[in-house]
Amino acid sequence: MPVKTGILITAGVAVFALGVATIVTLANATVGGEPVAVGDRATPTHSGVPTATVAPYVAPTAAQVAALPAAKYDAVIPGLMAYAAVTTPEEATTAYTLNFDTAIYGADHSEAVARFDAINFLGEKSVVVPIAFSGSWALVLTPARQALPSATGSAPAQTVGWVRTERLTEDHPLTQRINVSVKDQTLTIVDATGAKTASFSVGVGTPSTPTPTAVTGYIQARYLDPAQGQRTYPIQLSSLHSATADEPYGGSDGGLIGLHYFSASNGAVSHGCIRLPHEAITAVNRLPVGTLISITD
Amino acid sequence: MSILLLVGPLSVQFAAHAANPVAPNLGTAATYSVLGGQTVTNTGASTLSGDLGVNPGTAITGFPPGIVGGATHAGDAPALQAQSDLTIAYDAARLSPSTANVSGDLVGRTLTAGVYTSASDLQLSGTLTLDGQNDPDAVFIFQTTSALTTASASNVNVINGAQACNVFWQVGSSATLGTASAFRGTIMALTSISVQTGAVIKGRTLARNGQVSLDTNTFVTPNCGTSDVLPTPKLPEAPATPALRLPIVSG
Repeated sequence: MPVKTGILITAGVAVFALGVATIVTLANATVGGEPVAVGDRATPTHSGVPTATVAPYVAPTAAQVAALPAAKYDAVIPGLMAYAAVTTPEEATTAYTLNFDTAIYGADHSEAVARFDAINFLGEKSVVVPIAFSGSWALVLTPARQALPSATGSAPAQTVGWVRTERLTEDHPLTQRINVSVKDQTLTIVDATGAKTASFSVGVGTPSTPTPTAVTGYIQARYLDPAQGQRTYPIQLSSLHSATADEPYGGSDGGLIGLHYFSASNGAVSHGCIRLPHEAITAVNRLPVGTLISITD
Repeated sequence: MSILLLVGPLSVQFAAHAANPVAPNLGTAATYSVLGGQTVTNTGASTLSGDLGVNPGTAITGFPPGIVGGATHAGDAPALQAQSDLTIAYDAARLSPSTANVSGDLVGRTLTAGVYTSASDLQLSGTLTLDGQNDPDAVFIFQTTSALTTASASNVNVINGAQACNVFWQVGSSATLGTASAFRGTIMALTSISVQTGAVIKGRTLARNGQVSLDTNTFVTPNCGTSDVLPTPKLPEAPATPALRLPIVSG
């Protein structure tokens, strides 16, 4: 059952509610398929023409939030928005946690489409990375898919949705990020100024099982898993998914893109994951959960 | 005057080394780890080294998963005979001449052979030590007209040759052995006996009229002349948490 905040059309009222009228612009980014600009918040307009006003936000009840689909790594939630960008979102400087399970809204903030659980599959606090703010709203990267590649031929590798800022608790700064070049088969760690601090040769996806590109996600969790041959170096689970196959490696977990240790970590060799030598996985493992990962061709 | 001086110390000496009581004869009930009047119930993986029986009731539940090392007699003639013998033993214990009165909590006490009588509930919140004073035949009889209750992790300990085979608890109502407690001796209760989770007993729980309930207990038959080592009381392990299902990355 979608949760509506309600939109009222009020003729003759020429004032957008501050914050809701704010246009979040993301340079070189698309949200929901539409190009948007980054960083600036538009000044509220006073055009004098009839326009829309948005009813005051009414928080959903806990039961309503619980009824929403969890934006988990293996979920497919059409109401989420696609996100594609490879430049640093200016406001992605801090990782947050959630004080409660939280409703995620679509583009107009009116309809809750998913739930961001405060506790993740590891039993740890979910780390949330906003890439933009608009008044009392934060646009956050989510771990879920919007669509399956099998349905459309290709699908967004990353999704976003809006959450209320009062649900966020500041956790830790994000001072470094990861850039992966598929063409160069390199992983580079850069600081907040963009200066390179480390770089490594890595393995990337094969042509038939490519690593998604032109996209930014984040490290959502890390864990050892002997079942996947990872007893020493934790798997760095990103929020990204294969854009070309539902499950390039089989299974049912959503074509997850991980950064993980692999002894043969050079070339176009993987099912989409980034395969790292031990010095690279060691360096990445030192970065906090929430660190952004941008992948380019 | 000199006689009085002599008698005083002798009286004290007599109290410390009372004549060894006569152990009640359990008859055929001696082969039982557990004997109930109406029912015997069990939860979990209890282990009985001796027999299991009930009479006049016939209901025994929980075996398996409980394991009986001896025979099981549900309302049959051997169980009837065992109950009859239990009654005789119960009365013998009840009528044994008292050595000393005790009451309340026996924790911290060290008692030598004797008949200890309580007109009210007997409790044990910690360790009670029974000292055989190097006499392997030292007999300990506890009489209570009321209930016997031991606390979680409490312990009836024996030292200096005392043996669980010679320890008897005559309980005028019901007995409860606490969770993960270690108990020695034969309980002969008029009504019922509840043995809580994980308790270990070197002895017997024999109830004349009511129920005996067990929960993941270990019973060791208290044969005289055998090792007095008791298994360590252990609570059953909590159900295993389902293995965490970790996301499988694309590799």
